Amino acid sequence: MKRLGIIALLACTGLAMAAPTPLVVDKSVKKSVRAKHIKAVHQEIPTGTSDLVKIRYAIVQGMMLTKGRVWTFDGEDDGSILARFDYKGHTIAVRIEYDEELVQIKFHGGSEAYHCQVLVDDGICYRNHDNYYKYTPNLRTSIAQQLQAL
Amino acid sequence: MNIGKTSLLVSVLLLLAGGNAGAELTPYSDPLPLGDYVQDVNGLLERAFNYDSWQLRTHPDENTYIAFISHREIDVTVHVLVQDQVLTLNLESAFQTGCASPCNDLGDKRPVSGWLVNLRRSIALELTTLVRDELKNQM
Repeated sequence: MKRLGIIALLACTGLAMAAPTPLVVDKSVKKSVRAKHIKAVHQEIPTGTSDLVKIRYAIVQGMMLTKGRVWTFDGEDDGSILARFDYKGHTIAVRIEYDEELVQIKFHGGSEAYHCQVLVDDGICYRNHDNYYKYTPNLRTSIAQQLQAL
Repeated sequence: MNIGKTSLLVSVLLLLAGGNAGAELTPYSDPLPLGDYVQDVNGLLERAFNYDSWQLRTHPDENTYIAFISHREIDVTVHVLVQDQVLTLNLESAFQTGCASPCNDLGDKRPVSGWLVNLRRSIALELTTLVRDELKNQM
């Protein structure tokens, strides 16, 4: 009973073990933004290396070199780094999941205006504030550039 | 009620309350995990405080740092707690200066809340640099 409760709690809070997976946008999801916006944030990125230290470095360097306002380190877990974005009184946090093949940004949380209204597969956000799809793609692009530069 | 039942109940309530929308974040009071990346907390804070001219007032015990800023006629005191490699900010007071009668504590309304957000972000930026440098050293 205790174990069941803890697993259920982890699953609900998004702390359960997760890994990047190839994104397939489900077009049947209601109230979704357009697929291109979801892909711009959540499309997986090939790592090009199996060296996990290099992959983590590329993620953190990508956070620091993001165009515009940079993202800050907000903790980590096995296979993921939390990145946070504070701007104009609003906050977005994403979980950047990685393994030896892929890196993928998942939604973790947000301040009031940035709650994900349609969250699928523990981290793919199908509907959020317009700015979520404006700021977060810059992070994805920056990480992809850093992985390529390894 | 044991821990398992409590956890399950909390989980169900979270689901019913729309808990799958992700974590609810606060502007500045979310704990910041430092992990093993910070050997010199004092140095980290001094660099972060410099971003917006915060001053390290005192360091009364091993885990507590008291930061102060006086800006736009408001005196703000913040307790920075570092315990078990996790940093948290707690607003102690925010008083307008120069009142004829005793000033009221402004609490964390604007602009004070924004200053606290910037303080947490400054610390997080310094932490991010340490994480990046540590990973680069391991490569």
